[in-house]
Amino acid sequence: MKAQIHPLTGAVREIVDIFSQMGFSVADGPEIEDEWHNFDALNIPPDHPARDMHDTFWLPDGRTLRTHTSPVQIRWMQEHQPPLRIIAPGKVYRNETTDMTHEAQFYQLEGLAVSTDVSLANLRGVLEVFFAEFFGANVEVRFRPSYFPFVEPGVEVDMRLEGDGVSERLRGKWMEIMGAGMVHPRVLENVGIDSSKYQGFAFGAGLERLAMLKWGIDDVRLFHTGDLRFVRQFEAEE
Amino acid sequence: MKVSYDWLKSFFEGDLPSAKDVAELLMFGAFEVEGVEEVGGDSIIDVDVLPNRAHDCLSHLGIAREVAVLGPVSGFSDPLSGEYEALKPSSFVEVSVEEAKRCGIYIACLIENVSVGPSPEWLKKRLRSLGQRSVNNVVDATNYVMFAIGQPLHAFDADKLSSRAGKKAICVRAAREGESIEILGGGDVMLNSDVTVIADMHADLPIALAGVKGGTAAEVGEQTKTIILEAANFNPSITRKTSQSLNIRTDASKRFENGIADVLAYHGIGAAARMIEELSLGQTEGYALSNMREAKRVSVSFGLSEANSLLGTSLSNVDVESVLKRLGFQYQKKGDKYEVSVPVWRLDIAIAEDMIEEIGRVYGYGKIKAVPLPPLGLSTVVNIRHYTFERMRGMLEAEGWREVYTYSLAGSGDVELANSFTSDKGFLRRDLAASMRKVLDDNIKNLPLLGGARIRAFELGDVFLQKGEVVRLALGDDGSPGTAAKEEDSLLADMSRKLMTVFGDALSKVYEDESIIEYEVDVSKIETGGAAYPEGARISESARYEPISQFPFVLRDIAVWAPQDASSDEAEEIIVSNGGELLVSTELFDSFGKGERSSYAFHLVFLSREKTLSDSEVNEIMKRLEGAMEERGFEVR
Repeated sequence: MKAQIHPLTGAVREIVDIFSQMGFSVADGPEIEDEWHNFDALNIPPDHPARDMHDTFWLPDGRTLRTHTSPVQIRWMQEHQPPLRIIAPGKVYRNETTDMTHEAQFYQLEGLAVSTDVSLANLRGVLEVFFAEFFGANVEVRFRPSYFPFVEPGVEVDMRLEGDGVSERLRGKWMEIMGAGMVHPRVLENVGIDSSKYQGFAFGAGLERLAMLKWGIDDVRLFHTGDLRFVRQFEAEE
Repeated sequence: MKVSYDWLKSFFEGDLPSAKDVAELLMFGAFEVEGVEEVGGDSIIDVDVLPNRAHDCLSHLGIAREVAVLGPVSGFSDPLSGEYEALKPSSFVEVSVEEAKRCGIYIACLIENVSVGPSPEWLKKRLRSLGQRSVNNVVDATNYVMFAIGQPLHAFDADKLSSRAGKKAICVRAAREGESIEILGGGDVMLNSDVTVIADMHADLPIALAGVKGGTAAEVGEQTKTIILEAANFNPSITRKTSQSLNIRTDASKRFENGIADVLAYHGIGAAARMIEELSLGQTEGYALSNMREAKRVSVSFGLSEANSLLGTSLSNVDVESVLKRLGFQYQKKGDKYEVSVPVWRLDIAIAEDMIEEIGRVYGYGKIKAVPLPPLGLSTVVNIRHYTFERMRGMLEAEGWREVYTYSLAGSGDVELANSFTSDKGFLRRDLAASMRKVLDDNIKNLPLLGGARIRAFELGDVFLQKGEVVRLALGDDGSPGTAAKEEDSLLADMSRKLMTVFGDALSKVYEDESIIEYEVDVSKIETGGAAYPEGARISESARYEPISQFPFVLRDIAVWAPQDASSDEAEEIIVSNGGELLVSTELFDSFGKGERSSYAFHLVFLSREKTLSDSEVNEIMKRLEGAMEERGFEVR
C-alpha cells in the first residue's frame, strides 16, 4: 500500500523544502502565548482597536491561545541577531464559530527576513518563487494596501495562477492569499534590534487555505476531524 | 463603511469615474472593497476601512479625499483645510470637563426655536442608502454630519436640563459607582467609574454615555424647542472600554475609539448647526467650549534613499514629489530629506515608514518589480521539533499509518479557557488518547471504504497540562470485530517497538490500552547528528480531493470458480471494468484451489455521492457483474 499523507503535513513538507533553498530556517513557539508576545511586542497595545482584528481565546491568568504565528517572529528575534530568515508553520486559535472557511483552530505559515537591505521588492521575489513551486504553476503576485499593526507598509497579497497543472476553477483568477509587509520599526526595537540599521519583511498565510487551493479541498473542517476517508485521498508519489 | 456614490460625487466639481472604477482605485490604492451594490439608483460601495485609517476615513469626506489622491479627478477642495469661524459664546450654556484625559475637546451649541419634525426626502434617502433609519430632522442632521465628515454628534433637549441663574451646565465626568442611566432604546444601564458620562451638572444626573449613546432624560422629541448640540473628542481607550464593558457598540463609539482629530469637532458642530437651522428653522444662540487644545502639527522626515531601500524601488525625486503633491501634503526639501508637514486629520503618520507607505501605495505597489532575495551566506538551522516530527512521520507513513490532526479544544482538561462560548471547547486537551479513541470509533464504521482490515492512525501535537505545554505522539490501531485479534494486535506493539528503538530516550509512555498507545515526546533529547530533515514522501502530483459522500455504502461479496489459469487479477479486472462508478472498492479476501480449479472471493463496496443506494439498484449491478464473469468463463458460486 502506498503511503498516505495528511495534506497539512504534505504542504508543510513542500514549503519547508522550498524556503530552505532560499535560506529560511524553521522556527516554532508555544501555542499558549503571553499577551506581550502575541500582542504588545507586535505593536498591538491593550485597548487598541486593532485587537478587534483577532477574536482571542483568553486564559484566566491573562495569557492567550496565540491568535497568529507572529509571536514566533518575536521569540526568534529575541534570541538571534540579523541577518535572519525564518518560516514558522504552526497551530493558531480564533474564538469564532466554524463554517466551511472558518475554524476555531487552524494553521498559519509565518515568514520573516531581516537584514540591512531586505525590501518589499524582495518579498515579492520570494513569494513568486514560493507560489510557483508550491502550486507548480506560472504565477503573478500583486500587492494591495492593507493594515497589520506589526508591519509598515502593510500589504494584502493576491496571486494568479496560470498553466496546465492549475485546475480550471482557479486558472487565471486573482486570489487573496496572505497578509504581509515590512516589519514595523517599533517591533524591531521591542526585541532590541536597531531599526535604524535593520529592516525586514514578514508575511502570514493560512496553511489550510494554501492546501485547499493546491488540492481542491472545499471545507476547512476536513483537516481536523480525523476522517480517514479524507486523508486516504492523498497518496504519496511512486 | 458604506459609501454612497452620489454623496461622494457631491465633494467634487468635476466628474467622478464610475462607481466600479472608484472601487478599483480604492482597492489598489487604499482599502479593500467588499462590493458595490445598486440601491435605488445610487451605488453603495462597501469599503473595509481598517483601524489605522478609521480616524479619518469612516466618512464620505475621508473616502473622497482618497479618491482625489488616487484618481483622475478634479475639483476637490477639502472643507477641513479652510479656517473655521470663531464661535460666538453662549449666554445660556456652560460646559466643563472634570478630567482632561477623558475628553480632548468639548463644544456645545445652543439652538433655539427649533421645530422638530420629519426630515426632507433627500436626507431620508441619503441615510436610507447607508442602511440608517430616519428619526427626525435634528437627529438626522447629526447623523448626516457624522457620515459626511466623521464627527459623531449628539443633541439634547435643553429644556429638560436643570437651570441655575438661567443657565444650563453640562459636565463631562467619570460615572459614580452605583449610578445608572436609561439609554435611548436600551433600558437601564448600571455604571462604574471606568465609564465617562455627560451629566446635567445642576441636577447631577447623567444624560449620556460619553461617545457611546445618549440617555432618555434629555431626549429630543417633537415637543423640543431648544437643543444643545454636542461635538467632542472622547478618549479612545476609555470609550472602547466603556462600549466593551457595557456591550454597546455604536457608530459614534467606533469612531471615537479610533481617536479622531480635534479639528473635526469644530467643523462638525458648525456644519450640524447650520443644517439644523435650515431644517428646523432654529437659531443658533451661541457656543460653549471646554478643553481647547492647540492642534499638534506633526512633521515627519524621510529620505529618497530610505524610501527606495524599504520599497525596493528606484524612485526619483520627481516621482516622490509628484506623490507628495497628489497627497496634498506640504513639504520642504532639506538636503536629501523631505520634511513633510502632516495634515492635522492624519493621525496615523508619525514616522518615516508611515510616509514611505504613503509614497508606495500612491505611486502604485503594482510598479514594484520582484527582486530575488540574495543568498544569505548562512546555513539554515535544523528545528528539532520539526526534525523529530518528520522522522516519526516518515516511519509511520511508510508502514501504512495515517496521520490525523484533531482539535486541541476540548470539553474538559487541566487548562480552562476564560471566554470560550461553546461548552465543548471550554478547555485545552490534556491528552491525545481521547481524540484518538474517537478517530478509531468514527472510522471503523467506514472500514470497507478505507482499504485494509485495520485502522491505523497517529497524531503528533501539543497537549496542555498543569506543568505546561508538552508534545505527545498517539498511535491508534483497531480492526473489525471479525479480524484475528492476536496477530493484528502485534502491529501496534511492533510499531511501538520500532519507534522506541529509534527514539527511546525521548519517548515516555503515558497511556496504553489494547488499541491506543500515547507517548510524551521530549524533543530536546533528540540528536540530529548534524543531519538535515529527512526526505519525506511527497503527495502525488495527481492527487485531487474528491468530496466525501454523505450517504451509506452497501457491501456485497462475490465468489467465483475461475477457468483454468485465470488469475485473481483477471477476475478483479472484470469486476472493476463492469462495476460502474458506484463500485468504489474491490478487495480479494479469499482464494483457494481445489483440484485444478481456483476459487476467488471479493468484498465489493458500492457508494453514491447523490443518494442512498437501494438494494434493487445494487442487485442490478451484481447481475451485470455476474453476467460479465460467466461470459469470460468464470462460474459464479
